[in-house]
Amino acid sequence: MSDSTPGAFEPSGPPHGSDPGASGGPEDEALARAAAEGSRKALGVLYQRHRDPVYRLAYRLTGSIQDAEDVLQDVFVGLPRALERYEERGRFRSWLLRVAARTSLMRCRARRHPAPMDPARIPAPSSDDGVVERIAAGEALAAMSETLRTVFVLCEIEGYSHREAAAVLDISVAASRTRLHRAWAFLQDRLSPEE
Amino acid sequence: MHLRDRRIIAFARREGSSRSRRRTAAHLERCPACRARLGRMAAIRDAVRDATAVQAPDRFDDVLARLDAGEVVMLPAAEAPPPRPRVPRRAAVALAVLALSVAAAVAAVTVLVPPASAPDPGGAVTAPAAPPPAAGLAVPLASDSFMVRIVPPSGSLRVRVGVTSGDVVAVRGVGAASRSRFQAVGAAIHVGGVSGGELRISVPASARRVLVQHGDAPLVEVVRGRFRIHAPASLEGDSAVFLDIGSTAGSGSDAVQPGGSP
Repeated sequence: MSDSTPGAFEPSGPPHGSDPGASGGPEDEALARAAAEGSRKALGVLYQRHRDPVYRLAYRLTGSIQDAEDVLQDVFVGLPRALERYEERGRFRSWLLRVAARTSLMRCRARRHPAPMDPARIPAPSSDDGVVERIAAGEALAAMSETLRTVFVLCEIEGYSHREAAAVLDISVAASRTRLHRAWAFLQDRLSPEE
Repeated sequence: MHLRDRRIIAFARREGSSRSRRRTAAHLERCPACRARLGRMAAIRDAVRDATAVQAPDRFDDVLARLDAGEVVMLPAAEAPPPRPRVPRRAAVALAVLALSVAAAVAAVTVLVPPASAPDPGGAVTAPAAPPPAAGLAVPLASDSFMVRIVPPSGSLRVRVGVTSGDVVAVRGVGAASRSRFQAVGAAIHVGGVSGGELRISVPASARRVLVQHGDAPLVEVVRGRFRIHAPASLEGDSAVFLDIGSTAGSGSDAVQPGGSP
């Protein structure tokens, strides 16, 4: 951080209030219309386009590969019917991810005892750069409570604003801020270098 | 004096007023320790993102198979419904009492009112009544229970709940349905003579498989917490399935809660 201009401290993460994954554009809209009318081909194209972000989000929120696979399946089985309620023209991917997030949260709530993320299932990093830090970060996220993890994932990984996260999680904006602060405190405590 | 975590988090998320952001940026410019904390947080966020960047399996064939099998999955809305406005405690109690009174009056009317299709003896011209809701099956998602709602004059229903594990399923009649006939037969609960009200079916989360039938026709299956709808369904509200189901004749009595080991 040798650059001393204020702009040098602009964060590298997603901006506040961004529309997470708003890409896809008119093609997605046309595919969504076709899928709502029963086109399996259109549904298949949407699946191929969006399965990775839906799956990743579900995994990060549920902490379980198995649950993530179930959420991915359920979302696309239910999509044709859910699209009948889709009114956010031009923001298909954002809408889909919010539906996937709420489906994931329903799955979490349906569990009698919230399952902590299984660190053993966290995938191996794709390169050796920062491998130790990534493993430690994955383990720290795994150790975090579900309440804090969901806010951290939505706000810091997916780029939701507090208002967006609060709407998905059915909590207040103030609660979202507080939980994010606590999540950061937890992570920093777990990942701070040993003195 | 260093920046508080809250302020660094807000700055990193581009939150706050432009004045606040300028002040934070100015502090960061002259404070290596806070700059390091900001950089550390960015590194942690990137590490978490990379550590959880899983790749989805391609199982679209499974999606098609479930659709071909007629499975219906009701997804939640993209956002939670807006919160209801808060009511002061004393007013809330008064409203609750009022609501109970109204509910009792409605229940009485529901039981006593003649079928909407009954002929008008006087032959007078009246405003067309709203069509009564059909008997149906509402399935609140992410819940251990669901509800069969029977509204006169749809007649009676016969619902069979089969349990294939050792779990306990409870069927409870509410309103007019409390006069229905309930009978535990092996691992099933037979309900007959339902002429109105609600049947509330509680399914333990641990139940491996629960089957709700109307006559011999399967209506809903709950397999390890997942609902499978066998009859045409439509949306009711935000998160429920509503099915039109036929009716049969009968009369009713008490509810039972059998242990369901086959």
